Amino acid sequence: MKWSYIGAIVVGAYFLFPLYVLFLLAFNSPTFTILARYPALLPISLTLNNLVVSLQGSAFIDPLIKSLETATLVGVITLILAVPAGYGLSRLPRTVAYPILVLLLVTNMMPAIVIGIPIAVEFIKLHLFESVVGLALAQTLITLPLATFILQGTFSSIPQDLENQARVDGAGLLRRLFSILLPIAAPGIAAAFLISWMFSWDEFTYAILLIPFHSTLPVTIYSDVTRGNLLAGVAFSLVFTLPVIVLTFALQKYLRGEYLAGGIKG
Amino acid sequence: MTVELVELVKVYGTKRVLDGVTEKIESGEFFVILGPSGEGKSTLLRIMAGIEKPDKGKIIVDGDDVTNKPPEKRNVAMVFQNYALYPNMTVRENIEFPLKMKGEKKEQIREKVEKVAGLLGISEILDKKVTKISGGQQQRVAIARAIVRNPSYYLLDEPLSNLDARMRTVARGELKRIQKELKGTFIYVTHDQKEALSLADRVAVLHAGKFEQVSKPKELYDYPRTKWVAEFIGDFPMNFVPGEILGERVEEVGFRPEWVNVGKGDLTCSVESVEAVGDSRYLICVFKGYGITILSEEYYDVGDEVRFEITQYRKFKDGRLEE
Repeated sequence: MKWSYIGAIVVGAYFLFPLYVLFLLAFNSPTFTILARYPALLPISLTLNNLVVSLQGSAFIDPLIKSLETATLVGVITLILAVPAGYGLSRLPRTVAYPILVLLLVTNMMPAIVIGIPIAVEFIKLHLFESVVGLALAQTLITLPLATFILQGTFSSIPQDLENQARVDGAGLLRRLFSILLPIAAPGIAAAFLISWMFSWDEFTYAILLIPFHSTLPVTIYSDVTRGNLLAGVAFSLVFTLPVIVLTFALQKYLRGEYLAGGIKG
Repeated sequence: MTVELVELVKVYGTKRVLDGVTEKIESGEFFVILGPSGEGKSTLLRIMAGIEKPDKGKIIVDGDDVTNKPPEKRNVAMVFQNYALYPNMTVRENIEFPLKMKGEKKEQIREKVEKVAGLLGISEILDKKVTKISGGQQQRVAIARAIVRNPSYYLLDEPLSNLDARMRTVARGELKRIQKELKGTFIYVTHDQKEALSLADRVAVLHAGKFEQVSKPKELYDYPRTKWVAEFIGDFPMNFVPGEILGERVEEVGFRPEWVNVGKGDLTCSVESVEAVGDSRYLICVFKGYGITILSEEYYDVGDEVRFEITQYRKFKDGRLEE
């Protein structure tokens, strides 16, 4: 028991250390971090100055808005397509549904860069190049199979008899969908949205290929760092991680299994 | 309302699950469909609900052919074996659901729900989540949801099978009382013959895709129409021996373990094993080379010779009862 705690602490520290360094870079005055020969590992001179300077002006706001727009659009498009797909697959016989699911996931084995370039060429023709909609559509290529897979599982866990009961009680298809199926599937839908959103949030390859000039946050951080604008990169990175943490906490209650069971077990 | 089943056929793959089921269920009747597992009882009920379609045949409710109507248009109530309560709703919302679907007024819904909840003794838990109540309460909620509306007929698919033995007896009595109060047409599926015999106005025994016999419980026990029914009904199957052994000019005679007097008469058999039920014993014996079971109040040991006489018996020919 004691050893497993120590193990957990070691692994935790290993994953949290980079975040800690990020924190130091963001809140320590640069003389103790990037300008120092031996950077301090303790928060010696805490300051908000770095952030205030970096986050002012449109250099930060524009990419942030673009990232938020893209991620939310990806989440929405994914759900619109994956909810019916997942429901349909869950009601098909397994022998039919499983090959289709496997096929869907196989598309994800293709490296993004291989698909990204032809997509970019096509999007220039379609005037979707340098546009949030275009990027969101490309990123949905990756999130859609994953979300369909998750939702297929969610809908499969809702017994067919629950739907039959609703039919007997006089509910048509739309009523069944909105009163019974979607509320019960809410945890799975939340998980699918969260995963799609977060995937898009830190997606890089499609972003740099499809919006090379006024891009999303990951691409902006990358160009800041490569151009030597380290402090801005650090500040952006810090802001960049916050929504992920907030979203995970906000949707946490949906990510528990208890919500799914009960009432319908035999 | 009357429900008429006309020559219903349902085929799965190569198996004819239902092979011409025909019966007229009267208005206000408690009609129990009894049969072993896997004989298509639930399929039949689902066809009556409209969830599944028969391959052939018709269902006529009060003169209307409803065979091709989907369940949402049939106005039928159903209680599934696992209750199928909506886990995202409270008890009250569950019971309200069918009324809301009908578009009834709010005050009217409220009144009806309170009334039904009172009838079933679940008024206190109306605002609890259905996932937070006990199995017995869930079963009541499922029944409340079925009886809150005014359906043409009620379908119940082994609704008591998830309760423990004691609860089941109580619930059985309650169900019968509710049915009498509502004067509803109840169609009830079970594999438990005790349940069937104690609840039913009429019992239909489903075997090999057909109703092998439809009759009152007492008649089903005393005058089983086929050998199969005779062996299926009862704690112990009916005993069968060739007619000539008893001096009858008929292929076979059958008698129940209770239809004997042990200790007198001129027939003898030897005891193979003993099964005690309450304060009486079932003796499993060999009688002229045939295995039979007889009921005795005296105690006998394995290997004993027992004298007995048969007080009544039925004649069978080709596996069917001879009138």
